[in-house]
Amino acid sequence: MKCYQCGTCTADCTYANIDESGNFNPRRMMLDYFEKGKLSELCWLCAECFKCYRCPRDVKPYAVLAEMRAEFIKKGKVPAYVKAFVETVKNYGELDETAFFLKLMKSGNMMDMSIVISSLKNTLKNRGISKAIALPKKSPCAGEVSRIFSAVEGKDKVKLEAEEKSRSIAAAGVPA
Amino acid sequence: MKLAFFPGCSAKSSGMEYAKSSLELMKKLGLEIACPEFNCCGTHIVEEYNKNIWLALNARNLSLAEEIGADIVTTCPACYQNLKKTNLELGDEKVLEDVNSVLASVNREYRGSVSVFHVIEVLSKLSRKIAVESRLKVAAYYGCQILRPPELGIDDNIENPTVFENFLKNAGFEVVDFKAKTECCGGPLLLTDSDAFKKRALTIVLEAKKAGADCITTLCPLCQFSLEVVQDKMPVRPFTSLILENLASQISE
Repeated sequence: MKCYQCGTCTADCTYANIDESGNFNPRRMMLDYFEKGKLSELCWLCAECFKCYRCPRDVKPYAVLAEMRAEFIKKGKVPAYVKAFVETVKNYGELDETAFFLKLMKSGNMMDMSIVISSLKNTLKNRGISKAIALPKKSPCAGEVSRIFSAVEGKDKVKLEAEEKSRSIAAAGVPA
Repeated sequence: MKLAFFPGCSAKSSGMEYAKSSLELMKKLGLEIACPEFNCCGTHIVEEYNKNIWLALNARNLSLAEEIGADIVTTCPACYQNLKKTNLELGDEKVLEDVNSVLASVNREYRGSVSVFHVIEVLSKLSRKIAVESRLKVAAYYGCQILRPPELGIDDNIENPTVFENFLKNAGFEVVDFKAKTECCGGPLLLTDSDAFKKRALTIVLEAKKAGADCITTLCPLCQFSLEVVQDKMPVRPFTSLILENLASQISE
């Protein structure tokens, strides 16, 4: 393990500095992950500020937390906002904010309404009524983006099936 | 130099003002700008969801610029970072080959020739001088992703960058000494902990007030969003809007 437990990442961490409970501790999360392979749900609270780049051992804590989130997703534990984000991009080609907020609301994972209201006020100020209450709109590139998703997902499926097949052959004791 | 303008999703929706003013300012300065139909960069969310989809989404964007012989200029530090990271990863021939086998499904190919810039990089290097007439004391706010991580940030001092302040000073603004300039606005926390989000964004605004600023200026559509939705006392303006609003007269050679 490269990390020598100095805690610089945690001292610099934006979220650790807001979190009064003291539970959010990237150093400890990484120790548990490296030593016990334990994933902490807290990794979803990372603010993506990259302050932990100052790591003297160049462990890149931000990348370790990203790896933890990717592991959760692989295990099928996908937070509602991630699902809403990915589905919006897949269907609209872009992160259409109206579509994204609607999906979030539907999933019950809603952010603070006062923020949504002030955001709407801000949009009204910038764009006028007709565009502020915009209906979700697909980008002209939406078709290409969906095809890219299908192409990768198709390849992943083939790869997964091949892996499963070789595993079952190995389990049956047949030489490959 | 031909540039393909990449506003990014955020600057196309809630941050529309920033995209509009950036485009207008770059055109005023005589830059040759094209606007291809780019898709979402996917950001770290799609990257963590499925790395290969994320790579292909970004490679598609890069290929659109390559097709018209342009480099990319973006308003969004997150898109900036994602496009640059993709370029780095596609330096590996095998990865590039894999990505192109996906891009073939949309009849595209990327050869790896496109550079990615942020608007501040392009504008701060131009020889044409922008002059404003303003008495505003401005707090220049960098936020995170334009600087960090170091391998993906702009070419400046990561701990105490100056490119943004220098650009605004040269244009004629008074720029205050703003200690929170490279702190995080808390933007992504909006989706996971809105109390923490509000607390964080307000801290940045209060620091600007302490520094004696009349207004905060941003170069990130997400910072712009965060700082302006949590309060309405301190004006927050995208830097390109601030310039256009205070432009002295014609832009000189």
